[in-house]
Amino acid sequence: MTAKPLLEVRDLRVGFRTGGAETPILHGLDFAVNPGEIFAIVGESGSGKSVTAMSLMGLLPRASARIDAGRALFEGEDLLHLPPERLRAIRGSRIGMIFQEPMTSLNPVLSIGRQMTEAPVAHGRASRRDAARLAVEMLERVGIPEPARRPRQFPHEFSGGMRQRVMIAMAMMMRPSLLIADEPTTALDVTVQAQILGLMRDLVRETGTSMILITHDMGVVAEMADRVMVMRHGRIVEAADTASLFARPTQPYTRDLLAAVPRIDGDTPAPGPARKTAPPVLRLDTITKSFGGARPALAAVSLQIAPGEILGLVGESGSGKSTLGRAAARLTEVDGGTVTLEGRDITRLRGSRLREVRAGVQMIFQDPYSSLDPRLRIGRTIAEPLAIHAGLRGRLARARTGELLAQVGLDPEMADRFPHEFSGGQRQRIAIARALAAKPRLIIADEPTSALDVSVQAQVLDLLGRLSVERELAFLFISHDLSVVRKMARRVAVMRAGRLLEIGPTAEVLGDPRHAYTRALIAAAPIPDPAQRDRLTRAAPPGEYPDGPLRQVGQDHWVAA
Amino acid sequence: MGLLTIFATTVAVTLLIHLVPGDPVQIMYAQSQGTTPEQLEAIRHSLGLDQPIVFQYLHFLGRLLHGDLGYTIRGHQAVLDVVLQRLPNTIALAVTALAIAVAIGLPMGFAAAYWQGSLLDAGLMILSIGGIAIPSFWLGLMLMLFFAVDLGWLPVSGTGPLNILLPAFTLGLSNAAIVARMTRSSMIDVMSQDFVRTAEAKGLPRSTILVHHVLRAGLVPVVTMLGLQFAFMMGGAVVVENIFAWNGVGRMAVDAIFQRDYPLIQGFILSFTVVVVFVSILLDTVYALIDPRIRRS
Repeated sequence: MTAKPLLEVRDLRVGFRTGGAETPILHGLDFAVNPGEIFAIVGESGSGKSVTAMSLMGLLPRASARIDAGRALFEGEDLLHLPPERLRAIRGSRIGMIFQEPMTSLNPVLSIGRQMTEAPVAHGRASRRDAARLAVEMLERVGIPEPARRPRQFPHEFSGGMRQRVMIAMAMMMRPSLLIADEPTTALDVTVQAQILGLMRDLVRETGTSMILITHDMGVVAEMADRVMVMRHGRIVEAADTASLFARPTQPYTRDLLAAVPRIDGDTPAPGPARKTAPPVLRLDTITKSFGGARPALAAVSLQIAPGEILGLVGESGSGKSTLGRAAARLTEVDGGTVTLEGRDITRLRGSRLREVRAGVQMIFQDPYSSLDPRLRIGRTIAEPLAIHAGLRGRLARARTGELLAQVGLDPEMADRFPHEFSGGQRQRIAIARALAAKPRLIIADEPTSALDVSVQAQVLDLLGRLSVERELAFLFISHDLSVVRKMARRVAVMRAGRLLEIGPTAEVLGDPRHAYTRALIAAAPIPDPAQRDRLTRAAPPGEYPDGPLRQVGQDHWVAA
Repeated sequence: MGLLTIFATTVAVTLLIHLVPGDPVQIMYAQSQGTTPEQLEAIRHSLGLDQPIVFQYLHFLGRLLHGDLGYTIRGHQAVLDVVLQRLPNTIALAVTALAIAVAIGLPMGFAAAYWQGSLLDAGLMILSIGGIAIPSFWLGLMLMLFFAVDLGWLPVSGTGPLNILLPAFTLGLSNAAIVARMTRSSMIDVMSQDFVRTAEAKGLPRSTILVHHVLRAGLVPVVTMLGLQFAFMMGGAVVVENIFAWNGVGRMAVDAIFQRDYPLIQGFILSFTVVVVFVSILLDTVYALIDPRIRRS
């Protein structure tokens, strides 16, 4: 690179004070961002990637964080040592920022127009009227329909994807020369993510803006970035241009990180012993459920799971996949249809009979932080189902708890600890141990690894796969992530808007999708391979898909007509 | 919802008279000497107490719809007139007190939130604990002693434009403490929200962020609480009006209770309910003005 970099960071060191002591978070970062390039900072949680962005913007928490050393030259000025008023003048006008959570990043009580125009007005760049005109232009540019009437609306009138478009439009209002995007698509559905990534790439190209893209997702990096910097524990592991980093990672950590990423074009589990004759452990017959909205959460969905089988259930938010999982465990009452568990119709069971049946089906939830009682020692959390379903108490329960902890890869000695003493991955292992305690035949795992880092996710997925084989344990594996499902499940079901659209062997459904929506999902999933870039569909997918009754198109392969 | 509350109150008010053990008429007139049994019977009849309770209630409701709350036992005035004559005084007192509570509590809570963890914050919050803990009758007497007796700046008691200050402050100060605490926690909550970070990232001046983003969003729960506060203030007015001889319904109610003037007590309870219901409806409207999410639903 001969051109002068737009941003040059030298020896950036940041520490956080907790109690009396200061903990270093960033241990001297050196990097540069060139004009017009997309520079990705990738790392797992705790790597310091967000802190890096916040220190450039001067947005670190004033009370606890301190910049200990370093320079960040941006267009001739050192961002780290500017007086607050000077930095404020740069913030928003020459450096824009987009955040992860579109649902909470806009002020709910102010109109969109107000929020979009206040920055240009405050920076003295435009009159209120000019800013309002510009806002409509920008809304149109980011693909929001009917832009003229949008400024009067409030954030709650927009969907998540639309809000993120508004955030992008807002950040681009003053044509900043640098745009910092902190996990901009992590909270979005995969088809929406594809649109937003495409939009950001177009905008950056068109305006010549440079972008720092902070993400945990190697797929997003491969789709977007010109150059990548891998971070871990506040240090740079390696930095290179995207193509060579993916082709020839020089550091073991980068190699592990890449290896841990599940791929939608990767392997599916080898076909296991056919168990066609065994009666299914779970059978759902045309179950329906409505929460009173315009369309039902579940519309006549039928499927079954064989003993020891892992069925992947894929869908975007609002598809009804979680409702289906809850209905299967009778945590949600269905309006119609039947739920049969191990040959027993449980749809109308009550009281102790229901409790008895429930031991056979257990759940694992997405958020390992809120699904464990923070005031209960984990030993007691795991022993609770033992007492309820197996009548185990006292020393016997303690011994069994120890065994369960060992089975999920934790030290039995840890039983006396509280949830906050564990990491996210360990907590999810505890949740698995709790589910195993009741000796279930079926586990409903609702996005069990979505809150975890990729390396941890890979370990937890391995654990679940092993348990399934060893104990002939069936799984309903619910996920928004096709690549994870591909890795776990031999059979996959695709849901959208409360309906089952396609179900069949994973290799077939993902390799030769017969439904338009399945194809759209697959096309939208980022692939961690820069060579396959430019596959992303920019156009919004059609709003309507065929969702009629299922018709057979291959062995065990059914598609909605 | 509001109508239901008022309806429930009318039932309670009818039953009230029967909750007193023994014959209410006898108790009412126990203090007056020389009431003959015939007179008692006439009073019983005029109050409708010789009829079954359902009829009593329907009768009461029927008169109520015509704006007839009956007549006071002492002086035989229309209850509605007596109540309406004094109600504006009580409302004026409660509104002034609420204004004082907001004028003092809101900036206090805001400042405490802004300088969270500082000495100022700690000081303000200790002060507010004091404000909540001090009983209003004692605070009222102290204010009276200091401003009216020692300094002679304000009249000791009575009803008038200047006289309102001492009772309003008595009522307002302890509520200011509650408003301050509520404002502080709400503001602190809002300051850590993602959209405040967005506002900072846009490079807005700190004052703009605080006034337009934090204050506005933080007011939503505070306004909700003010509705409840107003109801408490109306209740608190009963005590304070008696201390300062403020001619409102609270003082009237205490007199009515001592004189066992049941129609007047009923009128007092009903009028209070109507005012409180009305104010909460009013605040729901304000709430919708601040929060667009409420407006549409």
